[in-house]
Amino acid sequence: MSTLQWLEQTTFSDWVLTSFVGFPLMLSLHAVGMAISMGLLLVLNLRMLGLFRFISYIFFKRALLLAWTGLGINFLSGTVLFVPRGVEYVGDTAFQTKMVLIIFGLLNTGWLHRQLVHESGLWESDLTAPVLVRFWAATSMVIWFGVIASGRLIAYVD
Amino acid sequence: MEISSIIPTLDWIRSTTISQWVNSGPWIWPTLETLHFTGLGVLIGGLIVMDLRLIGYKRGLPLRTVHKILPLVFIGFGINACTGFFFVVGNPHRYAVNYAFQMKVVLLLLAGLNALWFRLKISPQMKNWTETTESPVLARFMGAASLILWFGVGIHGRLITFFG
Repeated sequence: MSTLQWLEQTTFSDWVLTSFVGFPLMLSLHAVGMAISMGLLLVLNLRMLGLFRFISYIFFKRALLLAWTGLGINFLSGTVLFVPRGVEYVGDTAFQTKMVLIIFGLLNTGWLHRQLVHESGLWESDLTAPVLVRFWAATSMVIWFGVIASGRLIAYVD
Repeated sequence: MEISSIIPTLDWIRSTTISQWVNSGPWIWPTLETLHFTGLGVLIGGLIVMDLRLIGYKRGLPLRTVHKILPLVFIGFGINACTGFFFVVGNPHRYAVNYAFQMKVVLLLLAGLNALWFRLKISPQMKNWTETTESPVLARFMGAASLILWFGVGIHGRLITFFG
């Protein structure tokens, strides 16, 4: 019996599947964490691309902690949702796509966060961020949209 | 009101061309859902920025400029109003009796009233605000109410699937 099969047979898995605070609550938290993190990252990405110039990068330095908190909520709620259905999910194309995109998204967001903390003071007053930052900000929106789309499709593809 | 009395109306909605279209292919519903989730992110992203500032998060965002984020909020709301319309028209019998959907609509109305109240009470003062103006107590309350209500809307939307 594989680890994933074992996980599915634990009391914890039963609880997730049958308790109201299991699946429904975790899915709700997953949507909340998504909205917080994706929403704030979207505003940051658009700011780097030249919109919303009334928001200083100083705003995002602290606000990004909230975005990471949202991602943390989704890591935890996502793990709880995964445990009772691991065998099915690891073979699911949509789930696999989502995991790969999340890795790219985290690398991308980590890099953008570093740029924000260490470099953004230099281009605060410019119309746009440096071209490389703009490129990865635009890519960030594509990647995270892909995460949302492939996440939604987990319910459909098998 | 008895549910049976509105069944002819629901049947009629289900028979419309729009409803037929929503159910005409396996990709339409998941695509609309993906857009609905994306719209939620867009809407909440804008709202967090504005409401956090109203509540008192001061760094890097002048209070008198907070409303400039509203176009993003309206884009998110527009995406979700459109896709949400397709859901309800596509499956009217389900939504008519769904407790989570009913709660969601109530919370949406409250969030709308909160926004209207802000527009009437706070917006007219904003042109007089300066660099050092502190957020009024009422505006702080409205900012907090906005976040709570909109997260409530999102959560109840997510819960629709568990009420049949």
